[in-house]
Amino acid sequence: MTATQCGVFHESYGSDLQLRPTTMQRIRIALVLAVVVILPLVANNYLIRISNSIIIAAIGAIGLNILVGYTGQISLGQGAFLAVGAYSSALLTTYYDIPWPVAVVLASFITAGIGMMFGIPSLRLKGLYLAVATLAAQQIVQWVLNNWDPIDGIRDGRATNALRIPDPKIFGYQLNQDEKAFYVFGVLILIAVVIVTVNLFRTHVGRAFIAIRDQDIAAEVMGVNIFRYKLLAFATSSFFVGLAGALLAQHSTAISWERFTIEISIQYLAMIIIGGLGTISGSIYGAIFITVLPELLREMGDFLTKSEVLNADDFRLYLPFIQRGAFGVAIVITLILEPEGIVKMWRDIKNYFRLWPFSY
Amino acid sequence: MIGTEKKSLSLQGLLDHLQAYFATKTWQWYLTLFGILAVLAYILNWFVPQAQDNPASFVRYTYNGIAEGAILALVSVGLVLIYKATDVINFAHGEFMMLGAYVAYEMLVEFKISFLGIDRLGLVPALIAAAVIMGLLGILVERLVLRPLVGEPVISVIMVTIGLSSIIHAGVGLQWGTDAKTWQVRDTALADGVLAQVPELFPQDSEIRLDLETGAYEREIEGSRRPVRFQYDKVYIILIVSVVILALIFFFKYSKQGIAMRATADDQQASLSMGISVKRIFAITWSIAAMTAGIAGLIVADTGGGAKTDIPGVGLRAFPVIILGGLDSIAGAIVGGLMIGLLEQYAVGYIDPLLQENFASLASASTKNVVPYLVLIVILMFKPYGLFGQKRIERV
Repeated sequence: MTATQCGVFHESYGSDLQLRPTTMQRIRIALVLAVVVILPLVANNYLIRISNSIIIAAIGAIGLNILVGYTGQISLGQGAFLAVGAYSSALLTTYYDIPWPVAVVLASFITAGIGMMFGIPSLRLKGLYLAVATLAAQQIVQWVLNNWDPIDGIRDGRATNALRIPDPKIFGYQLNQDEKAFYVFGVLILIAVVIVTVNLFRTHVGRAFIAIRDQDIAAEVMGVNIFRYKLLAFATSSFFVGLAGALLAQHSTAISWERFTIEISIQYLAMIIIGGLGTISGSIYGAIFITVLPELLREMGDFLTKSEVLNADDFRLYLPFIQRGAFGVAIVITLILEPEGIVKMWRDIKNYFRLWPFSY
Repeated sequence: MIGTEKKSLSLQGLLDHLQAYFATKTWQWYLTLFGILAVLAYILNWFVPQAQDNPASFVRYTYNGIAEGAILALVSVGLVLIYKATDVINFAHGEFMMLGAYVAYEMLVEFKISFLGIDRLGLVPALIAAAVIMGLLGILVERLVLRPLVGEPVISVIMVTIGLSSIIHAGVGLQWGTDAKTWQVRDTALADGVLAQVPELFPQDSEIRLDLETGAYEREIEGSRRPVRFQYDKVYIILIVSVVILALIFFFKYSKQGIAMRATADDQQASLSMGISVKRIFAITWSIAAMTAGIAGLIVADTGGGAKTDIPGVGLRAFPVIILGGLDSIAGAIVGGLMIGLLEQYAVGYIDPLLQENFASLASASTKNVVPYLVLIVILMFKPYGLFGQKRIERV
């Protein structure tokens, strides 16, 4: 489906259908897997916790990319769908005593359903009009979470905004405490998600999504049922986003609506746009970039305060603003330099060295 | 689109034009919608126990709604201008507003400006200063951030405006902190002799009271059962917004640049070939949009407790407005603004008490932020390009 370099000739259907037909691609994926396996063995708990955030963000970003990057429907409701996933898994485990792995799967399906419901306006709306209609999803879900009393948590007999859920345990490991156990679990899910989505776009469904993105009228003329596939795109996208939300809930075991605001929607959009729209690897690069950036700034600040360049109190006061500003600067600079994101930069670098030193 | 003969500024011509405008179908559509809205609100009036004590509260909610709507309209006009010229929604608009408010704060409190020797009127030069500085900033932003992205995918450009909003937010936070910066005299706790010098233009506590049954107003009303309160500051909001929007309308109708801007919005290629500098038009558009945002920010800060970091929330409330009115319609922005403003106030006045009465689990809920979106979705299902938006005819 994707263009490969010249000189690769397939001699059997099997080799033609391979996901990674060239040796270089196989080496690259082996290297990535090696890093993923070695990381928990060498890294400290803090690094693994960041990796876990990246894993969750990557699953959410892949979900969003299915909708925005592959189907071309801009969504500002990511935070809402994350919230639906998180809250439904939390409520299922807390109030119905459903084992948490089942709850996570159920939560993903519930989010898919809700996402489909909010996808109905896509029947008639396009582009920015649809984007604001998904903003409506964000506002409505946020309003419900904020105001509907039954989903509030209870602490010391009083209702609080934060909902606490039972500790998720698997094979004797407690996932919210044991970062390494969550890492193993999360990486397995992420790999499964990546394999499913990469293959999704090799099927007729995925091709229909791409056709709708490229030119919806042409797609309709060619027999793609636009409304059905748009809804399907909303459902698949929300499924993965709900999965990310559910994992987020199980990872932190205490959730409140403040973690699912419009800012989160914007952060996820930033991930996929900086990473590269319509690419799976781009979603992961973007997730890494947006998650690591604020942590990196904090580390740098901590280092500067330790070496007494900065006053610790000042630093703590200004840190949120610095992080926010850096987020903005990163977006602006990346997009001015390369509007198609990190994936394009990586491709350019690769292409440069492929013909090096005789590039034209 | 553009008249070939030079239009003269005659009163008769203007009247003819207005008459022709109000005779169009869309306006009738519109008035009908407003009518339905008003009737609905008035019916709701009788279902809400609190409102029954004071039927005249309908008038007050309408009045407040129009004032709120005027601010939203002003914000939305800027957004629509940018969309028309460049096909982009500016997500940093709320931050432009915030910046305008802080500029006014600097002028009033740090530079202690006054006008005609009266401190009270200091807001007038502050407003002009905010408009000018924001206008320059708009040009700067267009030059440095948006021009490199001309021709790139719309979503990348939108993302850049989101990045810009983060940068402005961070800058304001680093410079002024998170506390609200007020210039009102009421905040005597802050008054160390500086703040007290700049009272607000129209103090919020002063108001006209009107008795709807007898027509009496102001002090005679003491014994009246049903007074309606009209706050002065709402009047001045409506006044300033009307002046700015009228100025914009005249600018687009009669000035050379304004006509060039409309031409560019209509067809960039054609206007380029007619000798219009599209680059300059983009810069002017951003400048005017930032200017209106700055003025709106100043008004919001003046009536809502000073310059603070949650002003961008008002910018967010403008999104349903521009979609409801139609992304590329200035008239739509104005009408949409008024409609959303009214809807918000009616939600506060009628739907909130209903929820409190009937749903224990939603007792503390405020529906102000949700109702506009619900109505928006319903209207969009029938009119997918908003009420006034131009329908796009797509070709493959």
